[in-house]
Amino acid sequence: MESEIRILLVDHQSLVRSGIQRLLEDDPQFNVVGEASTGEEAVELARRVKPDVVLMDVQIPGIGGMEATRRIAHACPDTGVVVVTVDVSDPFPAQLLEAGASGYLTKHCDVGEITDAIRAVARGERYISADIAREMALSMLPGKEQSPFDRLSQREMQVMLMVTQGQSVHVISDLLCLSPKTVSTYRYRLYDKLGVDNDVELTHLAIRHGIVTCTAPT
Amino acid sequence: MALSRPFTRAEDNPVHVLLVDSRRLVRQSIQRLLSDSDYLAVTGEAASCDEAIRLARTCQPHVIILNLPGASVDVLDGARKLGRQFPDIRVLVLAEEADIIIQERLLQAGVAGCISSSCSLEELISAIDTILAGERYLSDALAQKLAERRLPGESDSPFDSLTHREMQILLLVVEGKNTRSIARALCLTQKTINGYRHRLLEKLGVETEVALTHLAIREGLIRIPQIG
Repeated sequence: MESEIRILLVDHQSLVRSGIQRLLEDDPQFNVVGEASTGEEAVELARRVKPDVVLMDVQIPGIGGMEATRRIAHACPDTGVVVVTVDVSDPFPAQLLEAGASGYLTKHCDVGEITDAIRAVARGERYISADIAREMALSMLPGKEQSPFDRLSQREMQVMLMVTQGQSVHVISDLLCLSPKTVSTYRYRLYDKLGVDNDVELTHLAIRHGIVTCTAPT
Repeated sequence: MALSRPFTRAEDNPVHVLLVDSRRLVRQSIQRLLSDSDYLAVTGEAASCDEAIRLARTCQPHVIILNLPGASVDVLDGARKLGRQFPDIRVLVLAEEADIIIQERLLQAGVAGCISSSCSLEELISAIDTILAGERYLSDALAQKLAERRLPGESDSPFDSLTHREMQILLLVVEGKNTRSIARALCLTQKTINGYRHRLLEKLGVETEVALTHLAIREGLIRIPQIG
């Protein structure tokens, strides 16, 4: 019999954790040794139970899946992290792999792909699903870019910050002593460089990257 | 508001569930979890509300579980359509506890219950029991938040005054959709959509749609998770 693989499950939804546990444990090779619903819990448990593989949902409360992956990769070098995300491009795969993830899948995959990924990562290999690999290949850009906002000039950055804080073109043009037409030219160039189509999409991107903050009430 | 016709379950006959979730892995997991229970049986799976509407005719579930993350037009309109076309099927929505505004709208639209998306299997079963008995199910946290909003001195959400149509357009605008795709999604002309967009800004007292997006986040209507 193949050697047992000890797994830590991290997902915000308890129903999903319990279901994945049953799906995995239908195969005797897999043993779920812990469950966590937040990033902090995941790091704490990983340190304690030293699993072979962590199956990590990216969108979890607290420090989030990316930061939890980074901390687990640092604290438990023998543990492999398989990240599961909803969207192919969000967060950017390259950033997650850089954070120390060994496997990367989307929630649109089926359980067969999850078990393949867990086995590969337990053997010390990397596993990236085909749709994500395609996205990564497409987004490869020259240089070692930390954030798409690095592509912006200083002037573009200024305009971007004002737009994403909700200022109108007229206010921006007054503040920067530029004509409204020039401000709009900067805006369209920004859209182009960042791959967005309008101000609201730009705002989503800026918030996701922590460039602009906007917080909900607690 | 009580729901029509309480449901009585025949002995040895499980409750038929139609599960709606866009993510295959999540559908498979929840189905596997429920397969251990004698009480519930997943008899259909759909990736969207539109697919659920098509499936519900043939698989005739007792309960439809909607597990579509976030506040979106898909959830709001999907739940309304399901409620209109299948008045005898109970719809239970798994929602983030913080998404109060959308849950209130869903209950107004006729869903039988809203339960926290992080609930346990026991809580899910108890919610299904409640709605099959013909009652509404609200999670404790939601009930408390909704009650608090009705207390004097509590300020209303600025979105309370919006009509359903305005809410649909608001959700699409703050998602970053352009006029053309909103018009297509709602089967309206672009001119009508532009009229609504303009009116939304006016009604909510903001200058730009970015400011509108900030307002939607601050009021807890939508969330944009930060990465890294």
